[in-house]
Amino acid sequence: MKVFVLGIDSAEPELVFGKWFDELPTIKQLAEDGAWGKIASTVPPITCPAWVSALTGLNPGYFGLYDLRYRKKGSYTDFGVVNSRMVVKPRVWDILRERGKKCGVVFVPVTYPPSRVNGFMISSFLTPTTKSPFTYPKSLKEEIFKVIGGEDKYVIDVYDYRRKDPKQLLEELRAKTEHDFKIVRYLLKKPWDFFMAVIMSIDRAQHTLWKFFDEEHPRFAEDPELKDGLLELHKQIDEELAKTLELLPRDTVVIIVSDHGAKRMYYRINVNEVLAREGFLKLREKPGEVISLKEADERGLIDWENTQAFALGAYIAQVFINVEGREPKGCVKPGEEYERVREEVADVLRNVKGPNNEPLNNVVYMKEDVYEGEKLEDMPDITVYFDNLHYGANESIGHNSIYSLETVKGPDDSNHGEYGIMIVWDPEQRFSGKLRNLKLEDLKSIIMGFFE
Amino acid sequence: MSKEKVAIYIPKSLYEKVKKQVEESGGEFKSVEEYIVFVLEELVKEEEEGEVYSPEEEEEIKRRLRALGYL
Repeated sequence: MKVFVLGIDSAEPELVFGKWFDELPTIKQLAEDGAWGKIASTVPPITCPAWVSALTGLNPGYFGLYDLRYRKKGSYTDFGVVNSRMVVKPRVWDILRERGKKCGVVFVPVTYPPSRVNGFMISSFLTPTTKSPFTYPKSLKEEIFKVIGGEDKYVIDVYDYRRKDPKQLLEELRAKTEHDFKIVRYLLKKPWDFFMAVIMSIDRAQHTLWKFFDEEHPRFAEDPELKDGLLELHKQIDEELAKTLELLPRDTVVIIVSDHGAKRMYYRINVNEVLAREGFLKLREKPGEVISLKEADERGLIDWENTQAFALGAYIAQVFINVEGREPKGCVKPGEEYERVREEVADVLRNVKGPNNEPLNNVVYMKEDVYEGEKLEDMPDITVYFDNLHYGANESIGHNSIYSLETVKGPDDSNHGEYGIMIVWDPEQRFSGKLRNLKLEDLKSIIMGFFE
Repeated sequence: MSKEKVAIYIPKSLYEKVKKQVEESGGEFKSVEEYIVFVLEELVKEEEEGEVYSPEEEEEIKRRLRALGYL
């Protein structure tokens, strides 16, 4: 028995299984011949914690993962970039290695630096440069460069999407998808029992191309060339998948999964502006322009000794209480005071309204209600989905309003959604019908079940 | 690495297990000694490595994360 997993980062169930189901024949066939359904992503539905939880079966609180970066110990805004050493529990390939199974792990987030697998590994978009050691074994790097025609043709990520013309972005994402599947199909010829690849292009596309197809989007833009851009990328993945499936041995289980979905984004809430207005965040001086929280900290504008709470996050708000003993200049005493302040902050954020004073469906999670594990202390004290993720978050400071259309980096049309997709196609047909009540973390046991 | 070597003792049962792994490695390792040296080097390297990213690499990644909207 072999298992092939294709991760499609950010694939949204309402598009893949809904609006565009008929346009994606390969995916539809796999779903109808197997089992399929939407799955609950992690809290928060963000790429790094989500894929790590999916493959360890554990809550992000075991790793201190809540974003693509983390706060370094003893600092407020000194951030480290998430990396594979933070994954202190075995992932599927670590367990399979013990059992002598060969694994191919390709572009799976949070695999840089790559670890020694029984097989091969290529790290994902958190690979710094093509000079970095991003493959296991190391010699695989040169082999891959040859496959795609040289080191200068190797694309780690398509990231600068806000500054690019959307048409150019679409072209680059199409090329990146082709590039990735070319490498996947090359590697499939090597020996493996478990093979997993993650394609990032849908995630990158949604932030910029959503407004061209969604007529209900407040910034809906009519452009005949871009109207079907996001759909075209989905169709390209479907076609590439079809070509890839032809290479799989007959006894291969096929799993298609996404780590989170996506939904239209109306505005962002400037969370630190809300906290400042309510007196939880104290500024020594308001900056004359919009700057990042980090820059405000570096300029000495934040009066930490008198700040009770502050927020991070671009899509989902991660709120930290400035707890004495835990934070460098903490002023909120653990215990009763912490509980009281946190409840007050949560109440304020729960009641944030829209720009026309309309109520929003804000979802507020307290740390211990959604997180568990050895790194629980590093997790945000409060996690907020504004308008159940139809509103994003913004941590920058110096706004004149609590709403913004964009971050300091530019506009964005979509936020992450709290559900992802899953299809399990089993040649022995042990899985069929609708998958219900599944969580992303169940992926690990589903995969391992096929190796029992 | 120095060419000078020292001898150490390991349990025979462990040796047998490693030997089996070496045989099954499909030529990746040529001897038990090569295997053990590789594993220990990897382990020591991990502990000595410290930071995952060099300052330049970290700046490059952060530049991209900023462009992605995460920083």
